[in-house]
Amino acid sequence: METRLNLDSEMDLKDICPIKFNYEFDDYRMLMRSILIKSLYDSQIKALSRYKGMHKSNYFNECWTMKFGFSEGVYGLILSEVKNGEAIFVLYYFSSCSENLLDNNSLFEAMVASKEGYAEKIRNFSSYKELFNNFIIAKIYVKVENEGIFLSLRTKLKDRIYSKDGVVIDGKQVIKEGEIDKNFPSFRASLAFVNFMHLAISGIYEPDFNSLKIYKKDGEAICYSNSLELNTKKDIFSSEIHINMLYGKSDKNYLFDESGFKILKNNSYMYKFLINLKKESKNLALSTQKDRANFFIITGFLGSGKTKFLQNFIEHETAQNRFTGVIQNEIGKIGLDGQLVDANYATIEIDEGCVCCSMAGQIKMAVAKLNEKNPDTILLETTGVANPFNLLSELNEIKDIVNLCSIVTVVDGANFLREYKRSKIVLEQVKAADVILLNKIDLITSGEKDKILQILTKNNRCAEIFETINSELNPNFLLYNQSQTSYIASLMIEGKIHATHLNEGIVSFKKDLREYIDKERFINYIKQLPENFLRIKGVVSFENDEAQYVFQFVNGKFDITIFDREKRCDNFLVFIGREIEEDFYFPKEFYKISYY
Amino acid sequence: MTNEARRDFIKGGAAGIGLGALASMGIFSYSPARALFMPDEVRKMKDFGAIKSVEVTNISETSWFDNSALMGDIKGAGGLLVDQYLFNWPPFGNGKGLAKGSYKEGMEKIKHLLPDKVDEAWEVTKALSVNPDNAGGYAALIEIERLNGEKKKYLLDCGWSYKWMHECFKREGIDKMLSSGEIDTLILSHEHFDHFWGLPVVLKYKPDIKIIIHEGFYPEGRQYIKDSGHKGELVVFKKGRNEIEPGVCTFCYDCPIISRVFGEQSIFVNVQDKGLVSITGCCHQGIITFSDSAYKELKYDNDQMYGIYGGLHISPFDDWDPKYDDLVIGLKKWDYQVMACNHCTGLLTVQKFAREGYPIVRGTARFRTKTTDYLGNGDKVKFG
Repeated sequence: METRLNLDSEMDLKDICPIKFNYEFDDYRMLMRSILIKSLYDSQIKALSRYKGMHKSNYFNECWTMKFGFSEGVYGLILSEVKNGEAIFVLYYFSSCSENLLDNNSLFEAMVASKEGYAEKIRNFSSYKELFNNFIIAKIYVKVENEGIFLSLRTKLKDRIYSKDGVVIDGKQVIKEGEIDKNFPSFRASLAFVNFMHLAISGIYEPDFNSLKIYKKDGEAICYSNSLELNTKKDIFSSEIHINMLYGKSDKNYLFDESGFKILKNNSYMYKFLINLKKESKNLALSTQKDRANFFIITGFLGSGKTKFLQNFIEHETAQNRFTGVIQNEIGKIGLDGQLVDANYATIEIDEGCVCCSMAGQIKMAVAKLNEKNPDTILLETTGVANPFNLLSELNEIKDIVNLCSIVTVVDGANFLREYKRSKIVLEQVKAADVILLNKIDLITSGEKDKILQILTKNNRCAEIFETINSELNPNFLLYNQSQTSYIASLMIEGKIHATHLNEGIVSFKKDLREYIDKERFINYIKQLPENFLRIKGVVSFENDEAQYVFQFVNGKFDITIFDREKRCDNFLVFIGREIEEDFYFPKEFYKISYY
Repeated sequence: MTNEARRDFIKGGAAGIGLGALASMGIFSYSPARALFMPDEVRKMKDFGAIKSVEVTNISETSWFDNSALMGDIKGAGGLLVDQYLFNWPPFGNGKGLAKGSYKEGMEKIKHLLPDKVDEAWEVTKALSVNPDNAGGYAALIEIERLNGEKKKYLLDCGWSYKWMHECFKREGIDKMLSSGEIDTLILSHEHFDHFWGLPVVLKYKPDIKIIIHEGFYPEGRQYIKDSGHKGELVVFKKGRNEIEPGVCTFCYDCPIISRVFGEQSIFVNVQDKGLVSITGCCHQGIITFSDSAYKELKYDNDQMYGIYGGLHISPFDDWDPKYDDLVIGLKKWDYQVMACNHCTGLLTVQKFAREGYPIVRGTARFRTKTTDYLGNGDKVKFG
C-alpha cells in the first residue's frame, strides 16, 4: 500500500507546506505549527510518541501546549527568535500539581503551580510572566536547509539552583542556607518531546535520518542571594547536553560551535535514552504497530447512560476525523437506540436476544463486518442486563483482529444503591470493568456518592473511576490507556460461570401499539407501575397530535420527547422488568379511539 | 529541606503567599536578567467598511453522502495525510484502484471534455474512480447588499461531483447567474476535493470568472484550474487579511489540513449596526483561531461577532482535558447571535450546540439533507 508521496531521501518542505519558505519568524512558526497539527492526523506518530494532543493559544503571541503519555505535566513551546535563518524555540515543562516531579521544581515554580487557575493559565503561558520566564527545560534550534533540516536540543542534565542565604517564609526555614532550591531533570523531561519531533519529522517527510550526535560539556549551577545577586558554581549534575540531529542533507555537519564539547560515544548511556531515535528501531516499531481497531465493551445496567456515552464518544471522534463502528445489542426485538443515535458512523445491530447468553460467534462476525469499513474504534454496547463476564470467551476469538482496550461500565448513580442489592449483574458489571463511569452524580448527594464509591472500590480495586454527568467523558482517557488488556486476559483465565439475567427472572417483551393512545391515561398508568418494571422504551403517538414521541422509562422516572425523523415508524413499546407478565401490562384504555 | 517537606509546606497554606513577596525575598524568579523578550501584540482593529446585509444560499453542504465510505477510502489509502490527488477519487480516476491515482493520468481521460461537456466527463471518470457516487460538494451563494442599496453576488466554493453540482446549480439558478455575469467572482476557501473539484461546472457557464485562491494551493490544484478551461483572472491571496470590497474581506490562514491540503481562507463581512458575519468553507483553522483572529485584526460594528455561516470543522486539535471543551467554552465567549452551521460541523456537533443553547438556525431537510437540525441544501439565511 502506497501511503506517502515522497519516499526518496530528499527533503521536500512541500509535504508540509507549498508556500515558499523565507526563513523568517512567521515561516518557522508555521513550520512548527504544521508539524504539531499534522502529527495529530497520523495515528502511528501519535501511538509511538504517545502524543496526546495540543492546544494552540492565540493570545497574543502564538504558543502551543501539548501532552505526552509519559507524564502528567504539560509541555509548552514557543518560538522565541529567528537569527541568521535559524529558529530558536523554547521548551517548557509545567509539572502537574499532583506529580512527584514538582518537588524538583524551584520553590517559586512550585508555588506558582499551587495557585488557583494554574491549569487554565498554562494554556496561554506566553501571557503570564511567572509562567513564561520559569519552567523552561530546553531550547530547540531548528534550521531548514535546501535539502534537509537540522534539529538541535540544548538542555542541562539537571537544572540546579542554590539559595545562598536560604529562604525563610512566615518564620519557617523553607530552604536552608546554601541548599538547593531547584533540581530539575531537564534532559530527561525533554526526551518525550525530542522523541516526538523525531517521529514527526520522520513520519511526515520520510527523509534520510543522517546523523544523531550527543554532545556534553561541564556546566554550572546558579546560586542566588537575598541581595538579588546571581553567581554560578561548578556542578557535575549541571552539565550541558546538546542533541544534534540532521535529516536529509546539509553542507555542514553540525549546527553549532562544538568547541568545549565532547561528543559522547555511541555506546554511552545517553544514547540508550534515545533508542527510539534510531531509524531502525523506528521502522521496527512501525511495522509491529498493527493497524487494528480499538475495541471497547460498554456495559451498564438499564438506563444508566450507555447510549449517551456512545453518543458523546462518536461525537468527539467524528470531530477528530476518526471513525467509530458500533455493535449494538438489544434485549427487545427492536434496536431503538440504534435508530436514535444518528450520526456518521457504522452500526451493526445484534437484535436476537441478549449478547451475554446467546451470542456465540456473532460478535466476531459483527467485528469482521465493521472492519471492512476500517473503523478506528469499535464499541460494543451490551444490553443493560448483560453480564460482561460471559463475553470474555468471545473476546478470545477476536483478540487477533482488534486491540482489546477495556470494559467500560456505566453506573447509574441515581439508582445504584437500590439496584445493586437486587441484581447481581449490577455488581458483576462493576467487577468486570476496567473503567467505571459513575454517572448522574448531579442527581445524588455527596453522601450517597461517597457510599457508592466505597462499594465500587470494594468490588473493583483496579478500575479507574470517573464521575460524570450525562456520561460526558473525553474518549482520550480511554483511547490512550491500553494497559488494561492484560487485566481482561486475567479475568478470562478465571473461567467462572456468572449469573445471567435469566437467573434473575428478568424478562422483556415488545408490544405493538395502534396509532394514537390517550396521553393522560397512559401517563397515569405509567405512574402506577410497580417497581419490578425496570425499563420501558419505544415510540408512541397521542390523540390529537400529529407527532411521534420517544418514550423512555427508567425505574419510575420517565421522559417523553419528540421523535424527530422524517420517516415515521410503527409505534411500539419494549417492556423490561423482573418477573413481569406480558398480558397484564397492556390496558385497553390506552385506545380511546377504539371505543368510538 | 526534603522533598516531602516542600510539598507539605505548599499544601500547608503556602498558596496564600503572594508571588511578588517571594520575588522580593531573593528567590530566583522572573528577574529582568532572565526574562525572554517577546514582541507585544495588540488588537489592530482594522476598519474595512460595512454593508447593509448579507444573504447566504446553501447551494450544497453535502460533501459526500456516506461518511463511512469516505473514511474507509481514507483509511484504506493510508490515512489522513495521504495526498488527495492519489486516492483515485473522481474526477481524477485512472482505473487503477484506491491510493493508486494520479492527477496527470486522471486528467488525461477527461481534459478534452472540459469545461463544456461536464456531464460526459463525469460519466468517463465515474467508470475509472473509487466510490464516484459518494461525491457531493460544498458551495454557497453570497449576496451582499451594499450601503447604497446595490447588490452583489459571490460564489464561495464549487463542490465536487460534476453531476451533483450541475443539479444543484440548476436548482438554485446559479447556472443562469453565471452565464449572465451576475456572479463574476469565485472565492475558493481551500483546495479540498469537496470544495474545489467541481470547478468545470462553474467554468461551463462562465469560463472567464475571476477566481480567488489561497497561496497554499499545490501545483496540481493550480494546474487543475488551467486544465478545467479557466480563461479569467486568477488572484492568489496571501496570509492574513485580503480586501474584496468595502465591508467584505477574506482572511487566509496557514494551517495544514488533512489529505495534504494547506491553508484556508474565510470571508468576513461587517453588517452595519449588527456586527461581524463570518462565512467559512470548513474552518479547518479551528473556530477558535478563526474568531480570535477577527477579534485581533478587524474592526466591526458593536464589537459584536454577529453571525456565522458554513462548516465549522470544530478544532483540528485533539484535546486531552475534558474540562476544556473548545466547542462549548471557546465559542460562548464570542456570543454569536445567529449560527447557521452545516457541512463538516457534523450533525452531532450541531445538536450539541443546540443543547448548549447556541442560536442554531434550522433548515428544511430538502435535497438530500438528512435533518432539519441545521441549514440544509437549498436553505437561505439572511444577516442584517
